[in-house]
Amino acid sequence: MSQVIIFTNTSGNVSVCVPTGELDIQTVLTKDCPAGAIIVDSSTLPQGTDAAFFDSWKLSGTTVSVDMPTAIAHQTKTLNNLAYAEAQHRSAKAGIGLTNVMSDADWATALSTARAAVTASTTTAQLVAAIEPIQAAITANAL
Amino acid sequence: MTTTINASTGNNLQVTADGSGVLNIQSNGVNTNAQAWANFAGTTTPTIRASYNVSSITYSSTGFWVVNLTNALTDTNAVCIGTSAYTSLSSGNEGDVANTNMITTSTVNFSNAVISSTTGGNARNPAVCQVVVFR
Repeated sequence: MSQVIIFTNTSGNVSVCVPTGELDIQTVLTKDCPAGAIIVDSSTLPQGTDAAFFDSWKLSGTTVSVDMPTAIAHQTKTLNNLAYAEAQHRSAKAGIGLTNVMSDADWATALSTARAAVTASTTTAQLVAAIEPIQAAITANAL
Repeated sequence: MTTTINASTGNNLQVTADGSGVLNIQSNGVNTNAQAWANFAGTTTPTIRASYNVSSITYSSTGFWVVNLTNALTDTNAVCIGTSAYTSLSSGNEGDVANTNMITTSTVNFSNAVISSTTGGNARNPAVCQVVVFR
C-alpha cells in the first residue's frame, strides 16, 4: 500500500497529504506539512463507510478514527439539506397540479424516523442507512 | 542554461531550463507555459493521475484540497485555473464549480462545490479535479 502523511489541521480535522513522487516522502513531510505530521500506510486510514465521514475523522497518536458525535452532526446537516430541497420540490409539484408520491403526513413521519435513526446511530453504516429511505423517497418523487 | 529559439526575427522567443528543472518558455521575458498542473481524483486519499511541478496534494475537508508545488514561483501573482467534473449530474438543476487561489508561492487552494437551484452551494468531492498554474 502507499504511504501518506496525516496531521490535524487548523480546523481540527485530519488532513491527508499524498506525494506525487517528484520528491521523496520525507522531503514532502518537511516541505509541505506542519510539525507533528506523521507518515502512515494509507491502508490504516478509515475504510468503507468510515471513509465517507472524512470530516469527522480525528487523529489520536497514529490512529485515525471517526468521532461519532461529529459524524452524527454532519449527517443531520445532510438530512436537513435533503429535506429542505425536497420541501421546495414538493411545493413546486403541488403548485403545478402534480401529486407527490408520498403524502405530506407520510413524508413528515419518514423525516422524523430518519432523524431519530441518525441520532441513535453508533456506527457510520447506521448513519448511511438512516437516510437511505429519505433518499429513495426523493428519487421516487422526482419529475 | 538558457537556450534561445528565434521563431522569427525580433520576437525574443526563449526556452529556458533553470537549475530547478522547471521549463520556461518566454516571450519578451514573460513565461507563457504552465508552471505547474495536476489532474487528481477528489477523494479522501487523492489519486494523482498526472502532474507537473507538484510535490503533493493534501485533502483538508470535503471539497477542499491544497496543491503543493515542488518549486516555488517568484510571487503569488499567478493565474490559477481549476475545473472539476462529478461522476455525473445528479439532476438538471445542479452543477459543480471549482475555485482556485494561490495563497503562497508554493501552495494553491483548490475547492469544489455543487451549486443547486434548490439548496445553494455545498462542498463535495468530484471525480476529476484539474488545476493549472501560469506565471
